[in-house]
Amino acid sequence: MRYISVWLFLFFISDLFQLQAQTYKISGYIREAGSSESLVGASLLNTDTRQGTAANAYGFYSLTLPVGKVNLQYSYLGYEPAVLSFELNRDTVIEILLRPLSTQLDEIVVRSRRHSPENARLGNIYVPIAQLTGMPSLLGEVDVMKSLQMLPGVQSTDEGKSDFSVRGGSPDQNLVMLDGIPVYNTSHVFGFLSIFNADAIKHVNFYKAGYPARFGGRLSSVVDIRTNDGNMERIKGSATVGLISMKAALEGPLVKDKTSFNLSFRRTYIDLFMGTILDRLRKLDEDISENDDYNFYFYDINAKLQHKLSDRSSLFFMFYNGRDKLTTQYDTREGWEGELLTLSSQDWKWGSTLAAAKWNYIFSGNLFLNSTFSLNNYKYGSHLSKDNIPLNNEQRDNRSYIGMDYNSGIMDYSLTSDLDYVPSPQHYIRMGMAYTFHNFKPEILSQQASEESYDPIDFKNGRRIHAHEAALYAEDEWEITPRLKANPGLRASLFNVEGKTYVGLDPRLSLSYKLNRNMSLKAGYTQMKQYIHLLSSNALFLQTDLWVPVTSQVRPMTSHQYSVGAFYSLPHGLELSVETYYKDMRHILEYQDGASFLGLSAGWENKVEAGQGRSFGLEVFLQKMTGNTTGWIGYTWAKTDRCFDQINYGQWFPAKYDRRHSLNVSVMQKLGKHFELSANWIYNTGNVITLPLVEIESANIPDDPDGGGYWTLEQFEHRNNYRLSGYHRLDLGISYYTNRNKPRHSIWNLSVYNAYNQRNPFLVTTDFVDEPPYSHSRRVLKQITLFPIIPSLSYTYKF
Amino acid sequence: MNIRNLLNILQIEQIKWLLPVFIIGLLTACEDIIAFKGKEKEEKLVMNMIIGVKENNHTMYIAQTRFLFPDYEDDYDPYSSGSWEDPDNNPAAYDLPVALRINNEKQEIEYINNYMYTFSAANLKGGDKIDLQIDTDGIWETITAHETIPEPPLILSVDTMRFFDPGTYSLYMRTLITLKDTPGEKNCYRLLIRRKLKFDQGTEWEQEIEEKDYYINQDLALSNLAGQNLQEEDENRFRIFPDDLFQGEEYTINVYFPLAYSSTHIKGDIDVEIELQALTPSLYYYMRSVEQSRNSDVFTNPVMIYSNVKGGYGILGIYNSSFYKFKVPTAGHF
Repeated sequence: MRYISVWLFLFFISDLFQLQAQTYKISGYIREAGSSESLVGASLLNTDTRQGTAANAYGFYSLTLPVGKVNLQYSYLGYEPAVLSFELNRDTVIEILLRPLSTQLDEIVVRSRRHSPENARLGNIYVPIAQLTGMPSLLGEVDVMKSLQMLPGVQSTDEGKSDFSVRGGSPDQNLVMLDGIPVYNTSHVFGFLSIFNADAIKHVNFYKAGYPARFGGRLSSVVDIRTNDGNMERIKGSATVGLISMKAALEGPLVKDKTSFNLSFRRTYIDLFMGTILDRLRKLDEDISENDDYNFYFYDINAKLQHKLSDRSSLFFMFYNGRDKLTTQYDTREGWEGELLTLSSQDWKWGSTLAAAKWNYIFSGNLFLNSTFSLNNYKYGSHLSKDNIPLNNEQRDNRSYIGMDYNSGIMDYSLTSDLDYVPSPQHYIRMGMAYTFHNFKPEILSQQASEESYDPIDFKNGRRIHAHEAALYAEDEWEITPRLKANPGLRASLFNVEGKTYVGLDPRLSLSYKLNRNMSLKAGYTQMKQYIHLLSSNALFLQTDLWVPVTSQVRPMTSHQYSVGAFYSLPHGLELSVETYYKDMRHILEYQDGASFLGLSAGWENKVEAGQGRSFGLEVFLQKMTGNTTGWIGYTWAKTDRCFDQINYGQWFPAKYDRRHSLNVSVMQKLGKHFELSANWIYNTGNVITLPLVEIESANIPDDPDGGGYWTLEQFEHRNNYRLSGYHRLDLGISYYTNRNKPRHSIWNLSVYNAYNQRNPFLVTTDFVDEPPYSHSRRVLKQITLFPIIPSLSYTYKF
Repeated sequence: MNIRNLLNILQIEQIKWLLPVFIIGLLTACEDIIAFKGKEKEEKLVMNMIIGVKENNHTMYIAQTRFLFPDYEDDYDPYSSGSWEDPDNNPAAYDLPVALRINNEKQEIEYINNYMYTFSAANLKGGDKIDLQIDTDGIWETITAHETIPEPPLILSVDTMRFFDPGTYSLYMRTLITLKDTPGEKNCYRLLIRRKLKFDQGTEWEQEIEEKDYYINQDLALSNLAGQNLQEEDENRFRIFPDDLFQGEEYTINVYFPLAYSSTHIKGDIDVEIELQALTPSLYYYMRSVEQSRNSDVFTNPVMIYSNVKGGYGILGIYNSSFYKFKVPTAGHF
């Protein structure tokens, strides 16, 4: 309460100065010239008073200034700034069009938002998608989630995986949103590729600290991904052929300057050739039978429709659908003469469908409303079956079949409403509400069997869990003085499941103090709550993601994060930032000793242990944004560990994502108008694993059901006791552009992943070898490397 | 198989230029044997002793840890079969100065052989304190362990009901065992049920069978091991349970067990013995971790074996039992 009182007091004090002069509102949209695509985060600055604002997620801006002459500068990364001077004597609406800097050389790939009085946000990074295409990538697939892994404080979970850990948090603590809808399954191909097709994406805003109050529901980060609205002026498109997939995108007006569409599609194509490949392999290997079949594919579709109802009002419809499917089938023969043929088949499929309708309305020059109704359906399913077929005529009637279907998923229905209110240049207030009805299907299991001697069996097991999640929030980007900016906020949340209701009140605060023209200090505190958990085994190639809500036994996870940073603008376009943080996490989950990742989720609370975690670290980020040579160096020193009453004797142990040092170097070099070279080098301290190091004798337990006696047991000192070798990798890329300045042009991109073929560990197990000069079998560590050097080529045609 | 051969097999001219890189990327995932990094773990003592209060003689075993990744310079393996157990090879691990005190009174310990020690204590009772120390003047890290004997559990009642399962053609006994938990302390229990059958196969031949297996399909306390599904009976084979669900209260355990699979071979009454053990919490955690380690596979988290031995590994465990015996007449029930 005291916190709120102080805020209100300062709010009114600061506005007293504004009341002394008559003011008018300047509002409108900032869009791209040639397409009318809204430019999220584009900035507007009154160059005389240094007062400014930024466009919201729909390109809308509002700035209230005193009557008189104003000099406005509109700017956005990669676009020519626009300057406007006029006499302000009434409320004014300006829709500004910024021209892309397509021929300029001062592009960058991933950059943190330039520190300035216009930005009070700590730990906020903006990813311009257009520039990602030139970067080297695994299998030639541009992946926005992997580009985030190049930033300080962000680490890949495993080699090649697209999910990541942010400041010691687990991947399920990342709130990944597509057009404001949380995405549960963020990856294709067992986690090696994200579901986000770069062709469909316009804007990515990433928060690892200082989360605004409008975001909630996860502990460790926010990835806010916005898709293209569609070109309002002309038809545009592109087609790309890569190593594993093909993709196409098309956008344009249905009614010029009124209705536009955007459509993109991506699909793997290896399955189209799999039949031919298997035919050839069968000729070589007799063990591959006619019944054997192995196949895999994924696809995703992004669609969006934008319609301007009026100057004040717009409608948006968005749709996403993505699926992965893996099929295996093989046969075995039993009996003396192989008279019993058994056909075994296993199908796995998973994916999400998202659909949303959004409505924007400008009530006045300083009041903007967005309301969204959305559906989010994540499904995972597998089907396992065995068909026993007797081949001799006498037994032919005894054919039997057994099958099992396993399905899980979540269906969400959400309604959100967000209000942007800009009462004065000193305040940008956001407030809103969100309600989601969750329909969890943790596991639905059904079995079918038929045998001559038994009645057919067909039963279903499992239950649905319904939950209600609601939130209210308010935040204010507030310029207290020309040097001091703050973003206080408060988020109230509620989660109701099976008669149990949890409530939370999460305060947020970001501060920015400008020391001089080139240096600022920033600090932030955030409290977050998470009401759903991911029971996951992403190890190996299993896709067993299972989202479950909190229960009466398992409480919501909470985190408190404290961050402090300093930001410097250096000569030659260099920027340096240093941030340090401490994050405290409570009620986080960990699988107990001996708990299986597999099995039914019924009673999953008994498999996990709730405890606490802590992370702290230092992040240094040096980036160069202009010139022919651009890039950055990011270094992170971090430590994260966990403590659970019933694990590791209650002692702290290193978390799975504990890596002490991370160094990322990324460089892009332009060579004339046609070529771009790029290189990434990554170093991470090795992963930790739990590795038994000694053998001990067991006690002779009386009445041992396994027969008693002395067993040999493997023992380790603590969980995650052994650290693997450091991970390092160099990726190289070269892009060739034809007629880059013209609408019709093409891009060749050659990437080399892991250019010096470093054998990094993907999985380490123990094994026994019996080889000279030793006469006995000895235990060794066996490392599996997944991705050696991998070149890839892609071709893109744009029109 | 080289790339060219593979391409010939595939005979896909159209994508020949694309396939090599794809195949290199996805099919060359490889395995390597890598060196163990870090220091060899110093050997420590492993002391195991489980004391049954009703027993008069008790046995202690003292062994040593064995490092799993030794860096042999030559063909000699100190741990190869039998050699590490030989006192001549490693005399430091044998006939150690074990100091054992019960209620602060020193006990006589007898070294039997290799790594076995015994002592006699006939009048142990709940509340007695046991302290153990092995100090070898720096040869081994000194180990210590301390425990307090639990009071015997209080069985309030045992109710039984026979039922016949025509599916398996077996006679079962459903048993409701009500115990009273001691309030204000952590208590752990183990339930054992034994039956004795005498068979008459139509001749004078008789056989006695002792059966410990019994079934739990409804009892929450007995099923509540980590990671266990309530339907998976085999994951709590030691039949141990803590008092988490009924702290300080009465609790009725619900189990059933087969009396016999066929009446025609039964002779006389069936003797049933119920043994309820009060375990020290350390022994409970130790048994739980041993069972979990036996059940582990690639999909389970590794299991740290519980130990209450400071400076080393192993367990000083104590259990104190209460018994309930009854006879089940079989005549006339089939």
